[in-house]
Amino acid sequence: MTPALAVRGLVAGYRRDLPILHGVDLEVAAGEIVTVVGPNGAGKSTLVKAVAGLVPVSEGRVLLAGQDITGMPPHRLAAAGVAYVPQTRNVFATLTIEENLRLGAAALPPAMGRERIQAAYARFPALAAHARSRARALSGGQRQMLAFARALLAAPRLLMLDEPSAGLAPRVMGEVFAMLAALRGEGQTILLVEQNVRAALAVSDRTYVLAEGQNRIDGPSRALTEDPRMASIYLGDMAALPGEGR
Amino acid sequence: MSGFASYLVFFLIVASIYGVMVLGLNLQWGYTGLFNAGVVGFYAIGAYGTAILAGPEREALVGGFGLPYPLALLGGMAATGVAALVVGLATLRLRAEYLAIATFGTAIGVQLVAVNFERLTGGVNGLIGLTRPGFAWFGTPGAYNLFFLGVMAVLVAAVFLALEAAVRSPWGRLLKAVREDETAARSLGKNIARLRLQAFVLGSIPIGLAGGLYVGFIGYVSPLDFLPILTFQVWAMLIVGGSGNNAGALLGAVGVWALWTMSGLAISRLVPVAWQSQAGAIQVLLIGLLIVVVLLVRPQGLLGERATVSREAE
Amino acid sequence: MLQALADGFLSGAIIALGAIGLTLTMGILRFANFAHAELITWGAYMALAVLALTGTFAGPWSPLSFGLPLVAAAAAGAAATVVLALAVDRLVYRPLRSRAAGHMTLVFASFGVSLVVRMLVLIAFGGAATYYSHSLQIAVRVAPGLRILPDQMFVLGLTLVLVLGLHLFLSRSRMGLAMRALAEDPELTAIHGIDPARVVGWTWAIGAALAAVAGVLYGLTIQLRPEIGFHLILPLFAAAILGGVGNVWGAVVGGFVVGLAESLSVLFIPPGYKPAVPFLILIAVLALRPTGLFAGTSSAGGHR
Repeated sequence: MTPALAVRGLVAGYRRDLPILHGVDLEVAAGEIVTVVGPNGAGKSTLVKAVAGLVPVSEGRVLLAGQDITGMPPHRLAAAGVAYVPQTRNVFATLTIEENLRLGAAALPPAMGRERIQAAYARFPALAAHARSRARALSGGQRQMLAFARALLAAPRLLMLDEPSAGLAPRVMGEVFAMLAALRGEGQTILLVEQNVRAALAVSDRTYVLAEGQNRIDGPSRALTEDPRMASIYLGDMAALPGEGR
Repeated sequence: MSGFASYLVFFLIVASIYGVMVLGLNLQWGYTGLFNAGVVGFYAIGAYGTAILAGPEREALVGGFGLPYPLALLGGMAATGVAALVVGLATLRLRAEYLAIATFGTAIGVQLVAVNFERLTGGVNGLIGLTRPGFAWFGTPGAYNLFFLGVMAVLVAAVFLALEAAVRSPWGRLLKAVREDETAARSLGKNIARLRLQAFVLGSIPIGLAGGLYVGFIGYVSPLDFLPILTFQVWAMLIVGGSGNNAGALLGAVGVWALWTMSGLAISRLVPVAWQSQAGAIQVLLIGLLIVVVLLVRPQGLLGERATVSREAE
Repeated sequence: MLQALADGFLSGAIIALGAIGLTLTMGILRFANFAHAELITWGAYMALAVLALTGTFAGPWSPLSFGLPLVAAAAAGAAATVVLALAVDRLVYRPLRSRAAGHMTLVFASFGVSLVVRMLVLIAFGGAATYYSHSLQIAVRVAPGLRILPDQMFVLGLTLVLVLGLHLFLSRSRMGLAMRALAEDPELTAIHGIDPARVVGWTWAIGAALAAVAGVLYGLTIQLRPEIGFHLILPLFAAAILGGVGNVWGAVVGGFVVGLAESLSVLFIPPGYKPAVPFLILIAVLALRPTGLFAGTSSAGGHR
């Protein structure tokens, strides 16, 4: 079966002469949650940004359900069904909650947009309560919920989340992962980048470990939880790992 | 001297006065990335400052101190530096375009003072009859112009060498580092606003010097010599030659001034008499087009930026 | 005093219309467009050209000095100004943006553009002052010592209508929402599936059309000269920055403040210095409150 997302030999970076990713491979099957973890500077965020069209790709391919989307501008990717929630600045602080959601639904037919926004309010009652206030007034967790809700409005084929738990209080972080578990139950395809390795492994089907812009290990999340190589990657002991000299 | 030779001398004197200005602007824009949209204002401050200090005492006018020309010239430069300091202090910590807007306004303000503050500036009539420095030593205007060209050559060389030394110094390399990567420079703990202010003031001083030299050369000042187009001419010179390159700045001054004079000549020959009144507009239009086209097609200018500075930094 | 107030409101209305476009482009395209004021000149003269072509095919609407012909010419002038703004964006600013040239390079280019536009108008129409109509109007006495021309009332009324219309557009329509979004965060806007190029086009179109209207109103109540725009550069920037960059209502308030200050200044300073008033306001704002009276969309702090 064609994977929902396939990344093949991706070389990318903010500057073409300074690539951050050196040939990364990754696949996400439909209905699967795949996590990308790795130490700081591994290129995790660059990977999702490159897929989202925000970082120039110099080599390699990105395929969405078999269709080549490499180098497509971000607004067309959104129309093609890729929803991306950045780690920071993921809501419009100067716009109201309602306006943020209306923007998320801008590409939909008006009636469908209104319907989906009502559905989002039903799912996130806290947002409905603050519909008229500006997003800058929201708490960190509420902002994250607004960003999720916005991304889900378009019923994306692929949802990409960049460290959704970063900077959140433990209790709020729990809500975020509960949300992810719920989405998994609904069959939403998700590519998740996380620093919180333990929680990420628990919520995902499969996991890729990146280091220094290259694939290190991948496999079912459950198996990786016990994998001794995980610890060595985070300790920076690269010699023990396969894939060296690639 | 033949007509052409004496014209060439005149041409080179004016081009070298522009050259001094372009060198000053290059320190601001080429090396530091500061946009001075009011070059003509600072030039006028230098010119009026020099004229007021050097001019003979006169009825109903402030100034007229009758200082020796070199002293008056230094005074004009100092006045320009002070003006730059005030404008810089007000805007350099803000968004970059605010400096552009404020310097643009400065030029307008200077023009208004030049026209309206008659007791200081002579108003629309300007200040006339200033002694041209050293004129008495020479019998003919031709010989004097040759002498003045010699003085200009020495001064251009001095400003050029001083600025080269400045941009090659650790201070100059820091300027470029700030322009290229502000975050990195900030992480070194450098006070960036202060560095910018230094470059802005230092770059304004040659512009004021050029104003004082112009006054020395023609012997009067009038608000008509300080029209906004001058700012654009100087900008065109800098980017045509190559900003961030002092030799390019001088090349651009000569090249664009030649283009300007030749286009004026061509227009007066070719354009029908009925259109002559609009001929000046065609020249200005060409300067505008030149700026846009160079920015689009060859932003590095003729010579381009010398890469040596960052290499030397190692 | 009263008369100076009325004059101030009048020029304030024109400055406000120009400053709206400037603040939108500064907020959304993120560069100070020194050529924006030339759109005012361009619009005024394009309307004049259309008027010369069509002739006054219908009489004026009494008591106003103009009728349908000028309104039609103004609409055509606005369309021509939108075309100019979009063409300049396509030919100059877009290539510079796509090269990731620094935004000061765009500011620089806008100076070149302003020269070209102003000189084209000068070459085509000559430098002498001109008028849409030479018919004289009788001023209406509104209060003791205050006479206002019907045309001037029209200017204030139209400005009010346009500002309200723009407010509704920005707060209600999808494109208005997208413009506010782009002003805050271009990357996030694109992630939302909105094509930034379309939003940029709308921004130019709105700014240019309002500038053209400002130009026609200027020509209607004062006169037409190729330097209209050049003399409005500082007032427009003063209004936009005073109101907070990106803030439409701020630009309107800023426009009226600048217009009134200019007009009232003649009570205190020699009239020759009147053009310096916007600059003084600008310097005062930058020194005391660089974010403007009302916070705009983009922060004023930080050099780049």
